[in-house]
Amino acid sequence: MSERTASWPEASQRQFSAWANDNDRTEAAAYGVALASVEAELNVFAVSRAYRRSGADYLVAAKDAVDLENAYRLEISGVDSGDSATVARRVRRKLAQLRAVKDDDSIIACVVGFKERAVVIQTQQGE
Amino acid sequence: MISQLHERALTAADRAEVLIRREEPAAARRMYAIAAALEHAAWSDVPAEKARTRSILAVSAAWLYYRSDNPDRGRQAVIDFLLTGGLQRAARRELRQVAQLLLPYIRREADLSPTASRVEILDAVAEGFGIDVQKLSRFFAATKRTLELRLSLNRLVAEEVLRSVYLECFRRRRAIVNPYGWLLIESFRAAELRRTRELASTTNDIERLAESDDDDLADSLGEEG
Repeated sequence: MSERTASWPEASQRQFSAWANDNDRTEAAAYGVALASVEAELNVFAVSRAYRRSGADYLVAAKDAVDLENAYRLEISGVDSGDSATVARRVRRKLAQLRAVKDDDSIIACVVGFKERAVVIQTQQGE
Repeated sequence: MISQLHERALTAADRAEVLIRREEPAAARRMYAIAAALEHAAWSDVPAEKARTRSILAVSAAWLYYRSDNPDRGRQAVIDFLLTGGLQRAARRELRQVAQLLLPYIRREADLSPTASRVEILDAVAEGFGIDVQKLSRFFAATKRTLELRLSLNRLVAEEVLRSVYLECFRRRRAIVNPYGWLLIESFRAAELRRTRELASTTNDIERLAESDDDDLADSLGEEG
């Protein structure tokens, strides 16, 4: 476990209004925190996106990657007001999903808990 | 990073997402089609030994085709990806999933024969354009009644003309922006053509009768009477 600090300017009223939708706000914020977290902890960076059924996955890899051969698919989940138990449940569920699929895909699962100020990162190496 | 084509595909997909948020689904579908074609081209440029890169791009292109206004092309692309091989197992599984989702579009088109019922055709057109089937059904009925009254078309003939026009509308749906306008214009055009053909046929019959022997004509007229 490591401790990191993130800081950002206070949101204006206009920004609050623009991000009034809870789901959109949590999702976008989780993307930002997750990308910063994997960069700080695993030294991998967002190098591309790839489209899937709903939305697009971020693909992260070493900074000097020239293709996606060693890229990880980054699965991000945000928990807005849930406590540590909610974050832990989300992590367990995500891990169960990943274990259920015996896959050759390399995945990083990242759950961001805003109320708890906790980020949990789990990697699954492809076969 | 992978290629300029991939970068351009992502830019086009971003634009499509903006169009979705602006509630312009038709324009978004067209933009997704551009993004899909670019991603497909990016996939073609990746050497065969880079299985993971090819797998990611193939799956991404397939989903972009799925969101586009060109499911037929998407189905063909998925077949290309799978036949070309060299993909990771997860990618193959996901491509089969996309193919399954694209299948109803393809099947529906193949199943819609010229003898399809009015309900089947109206359902397909409404779904194809994302419009209300009840409203389309009322539009069909109103047009049919107008053709019967204004062009003196037989009820069954009017129905047949409209069914064929609506079927054509479904087949050309990707090229039609305003379905109601297109249907109205093409319905009248087809009905006029049908009426002209019927008139020509009747004129020919009369001319044939006129050229025949007097006795035959008399017999014919007698039969008519």
